[in-house]
Amino acid sequence: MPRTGIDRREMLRFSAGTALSAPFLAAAGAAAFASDGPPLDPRLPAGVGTEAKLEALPGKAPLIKLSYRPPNYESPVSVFKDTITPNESFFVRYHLADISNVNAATWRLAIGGEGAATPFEIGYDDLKKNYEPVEFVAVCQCSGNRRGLANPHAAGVQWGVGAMGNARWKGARLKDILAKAGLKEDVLEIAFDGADGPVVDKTPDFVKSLPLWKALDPDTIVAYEMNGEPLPHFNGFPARLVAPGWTATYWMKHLTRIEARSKPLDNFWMKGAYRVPVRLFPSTQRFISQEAPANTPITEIMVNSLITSPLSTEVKSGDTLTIGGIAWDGGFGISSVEISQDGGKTWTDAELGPDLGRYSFRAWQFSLGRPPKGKLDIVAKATNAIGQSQPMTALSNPAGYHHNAVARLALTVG
Amino acid sequence: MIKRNSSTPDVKPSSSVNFTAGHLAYAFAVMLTAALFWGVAAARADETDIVLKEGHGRDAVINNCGACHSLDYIQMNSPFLDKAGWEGEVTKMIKSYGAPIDDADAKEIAAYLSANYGK
Repeated sequence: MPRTGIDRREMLRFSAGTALSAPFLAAAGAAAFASDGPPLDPRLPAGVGTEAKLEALPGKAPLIKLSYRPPNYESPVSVFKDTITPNESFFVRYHLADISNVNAATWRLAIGGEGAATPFEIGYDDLKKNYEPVEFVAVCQCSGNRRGLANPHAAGVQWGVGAMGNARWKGARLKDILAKAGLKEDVLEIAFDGADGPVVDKTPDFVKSLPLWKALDPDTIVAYEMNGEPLPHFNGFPARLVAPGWTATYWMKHLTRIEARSKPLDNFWMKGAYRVPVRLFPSTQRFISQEAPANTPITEIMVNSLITSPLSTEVKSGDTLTIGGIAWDGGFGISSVEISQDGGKTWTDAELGPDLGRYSFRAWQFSLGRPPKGKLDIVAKATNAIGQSQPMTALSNPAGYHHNAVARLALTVG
Repeated sequence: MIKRNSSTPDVKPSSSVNFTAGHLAYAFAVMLTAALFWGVAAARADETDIVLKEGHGRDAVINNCGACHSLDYIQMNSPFLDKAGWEGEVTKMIKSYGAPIDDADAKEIAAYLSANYGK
């Protein structure tokens, strides 16, 4: 049936096209139709500006559309003024364009593989009722968040700062699910597949694995709630993997299959993508069965920060000025955020906001009082509980992963 | 009015897909008809609004690249790849992503991209 794929895709696109009817029109307002487009970082490739638009997918608020198919939409920076990212504003990222709507009533999650002695299936209600629920706040950040700011540029989705979000996830511990499957002694990795897939059969399906130790971590869950609600379709309904601390490539959406493996998963998404040069980043968490001499799988999120206030580069003298933002890392927790007003020569500690847990965004703020007229070269630098902090410039790597350079804001007080 | 829950079936297609310009035109016609049927404002942007620069090889890009992804990927990734960079991207699509692009089209696509969207 040659037309099946394309009809489905066009249908999906059509459904996206209807999104600005009643529920979304008000929220989108003029922005979605503005000819000048969303605010974009000047460090992005110039071509991003020709196609990036504020657009709302069904069930979502207007986000910065980078690609329609597969859908890749990032959150505008203003979204991060809140420490918890609302579901409707949470970024959307797909690799492959065949995206099924999953019906929770008929959905089944299969647990199996050669390393499972007792394969079985879980339904939606079963998952919610028969496994002890776990709840925590965690950052979901694309490995390539800020790729578009990389120097030199790296090919791929040219993300600005918004391919991330922070939500309260609720779900069942993966280790409780795996315990029921009777893991054999030689299990090395746990692999995950979702309902989305490629348009042509020869494209490798997006399947990812975790090392057994991370899969058995009590904080690794199969999440069915996000901020107290079912997951939005475009964020993985009805259930997705939450591997807190690790980049979002492992957070498989629309989970359909979990496989216990005694051999390393050998596919493009493990061996060819989502890898970083060995020893370039100060990662402490290893995925040994997937390591190679030259490169290694990306693992935990690098310590990072973002300035969310002010969002303009000009402020009035005489007004009180507070610099605000968020900081996060791969699950060790943020211990301090320092602010420089002189481009990094001198530093002063910012005040940290409430601690929502070690995987969460941590809000911070720094008051400058009433600064006199002039220019301020504001820099924010976060440090985590194991002493890692942000580099002044991002560490260049072929795929543009882990961009965690200090946050900067050139402010004119006029 | 929003048909999204019923518009995409739950079953994944298992057959391989051989795209041609005709298929794309057909799909576009389906979408346009659907849009008119539901009275949807045609003003909203979607991927049919994406316009690539005129030039030799543009049809090969639309027919091949456009089968698997929207063409905004091209503008987004410009202008920072040189000729070797765009050739590398086309090769990646064929070798890593299994794109069914023949050699002649692959050459034409890489030449078009580096001429129009290269650095």
